[in-house]
Amino acid sequence: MLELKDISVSYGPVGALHNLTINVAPGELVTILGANGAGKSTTLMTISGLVRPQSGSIHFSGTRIDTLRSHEIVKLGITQAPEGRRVFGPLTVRENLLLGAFTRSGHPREVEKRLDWIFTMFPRLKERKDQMSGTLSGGEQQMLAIGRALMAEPRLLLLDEPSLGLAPLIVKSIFKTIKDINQAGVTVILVEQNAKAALKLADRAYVLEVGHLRMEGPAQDLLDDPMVQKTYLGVS
Amino acid sequence: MEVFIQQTTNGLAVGGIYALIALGYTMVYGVLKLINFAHGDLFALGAYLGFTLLVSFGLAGYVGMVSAILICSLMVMVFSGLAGYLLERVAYRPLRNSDRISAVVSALGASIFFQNAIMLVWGAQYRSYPAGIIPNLTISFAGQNIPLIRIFVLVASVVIMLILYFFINRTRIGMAIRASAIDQGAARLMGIDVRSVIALVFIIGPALGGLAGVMVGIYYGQINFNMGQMYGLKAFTAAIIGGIGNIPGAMLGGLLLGLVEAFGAAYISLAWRDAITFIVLILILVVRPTGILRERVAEKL
Repeated sequence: MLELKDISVSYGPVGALHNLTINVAPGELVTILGANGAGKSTTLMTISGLVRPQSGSIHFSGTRIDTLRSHEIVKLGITQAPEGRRVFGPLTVRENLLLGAFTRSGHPREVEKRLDWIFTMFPRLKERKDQMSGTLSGGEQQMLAIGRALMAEPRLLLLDEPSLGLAPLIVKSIFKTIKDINQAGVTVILVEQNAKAALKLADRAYVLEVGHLRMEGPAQDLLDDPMVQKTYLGVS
Repeated sequence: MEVFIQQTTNGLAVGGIYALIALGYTMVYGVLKLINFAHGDLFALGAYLGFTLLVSFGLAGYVGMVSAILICSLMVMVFSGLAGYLLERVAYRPLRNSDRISAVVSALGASIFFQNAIMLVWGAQYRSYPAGIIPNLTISFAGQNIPLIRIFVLVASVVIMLILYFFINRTRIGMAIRASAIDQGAARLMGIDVRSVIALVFIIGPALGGLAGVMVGIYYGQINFNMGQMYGLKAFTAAIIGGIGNIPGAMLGGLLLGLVEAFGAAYISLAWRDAITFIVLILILVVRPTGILRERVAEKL
């Protein structure tokens, strides 16, 4: 469904990704692990078209997308809940969600239905729908960021560090929601520093180290791998 | 009392003009964090396009005064908007990924270009709008005779501002502009074509600025090729007063500045009028650089 082939990205003279190849099949939940600066967010931003690769190609369902502009990529069905959530703080929860459906605004009835679906998934957002989203708690903002990304009815959902800065209980509920979303048929790429939780959730995983692909394989295999255990799971 | 009422209405009319120009500065700043220094000159261009339509072309002779002003305003808005669009394409878009200082230098260059272009096309002398283009009538208000033209300018600018406010807050495209101003990257992730949003802002702002140019021509009767400098600076001050990037702020800032100037000119000294504006600018920058609307309206734009 998504194929990154030999993708290299650099910010000025600094290389961020080196010949990265990633494949994601329809319906999969794939996680990308790595430390700070490994290139995880860069990978997602490159898929979304906010960062341009220097070389390589990205195909989505047979369409080459690395040359497209970001709004065209959203239209094809790839959305992202970015790192740091980046909700539109001065706008209400409802306005944020409607912006998520920006590319779908030709279909107001479907958008309303989608909004109801998001509100069933995250009842907290419904309670606060007219509140300025900047006043929400971190967990609620994360729900909003995910809900907003789902409003466009994506086929592929990119999640960048949804657990960042959240209390363990909330992380648990967010991760459960991610599993539900995936089981509803949305393909998911999950970028995480919380490697253990991500590996338990995912079908397959990629491990990045300073822009290089270090390992890949079924999530269970990586959970059992001594190197992964030592470096990312804190098992000594 | 007489002076007070006359200066209040005068200040609000002039303030409405400042506000219309200030909206262009503030919208561009909101989305691009760039001061479009050529904006004042697009305002001057609008005044001259209006002059050509009303005087050289004699529009009123064909369709009558009221329609002439309406048609002239619309055409000036279209042409000024087009000029703004071209300005963005030529002077700013190629520098999108450069340092901010390059864009500032380009803006200053564009300003000089427009000023000289206007001077070459229309000449360096003052030009006059037809006298009495709005019938020289007065309306009685609180025992005072208020010129009709003053009411006309004030009402027109307020109506335009209300339309813009509605557009920004209630329409899909308006939401896209607000989202782009808050977080451009996040807006792109929503599928908003931010490049088009920027182009649109560079059309709307100069369209309003050009309209303000026609209003100045009608209100004061005289225009000059470098009028964009002073009006630009004042409107910029108005935008700063309201909090640059903040649309309601620019409207409020414009009206406030108009009033301050009118009262300053009446009660202190006419010679001090411009100085008062810049004293206000310095005071705001020192005391409250984020503008007066910062706390109640946390958002930019």
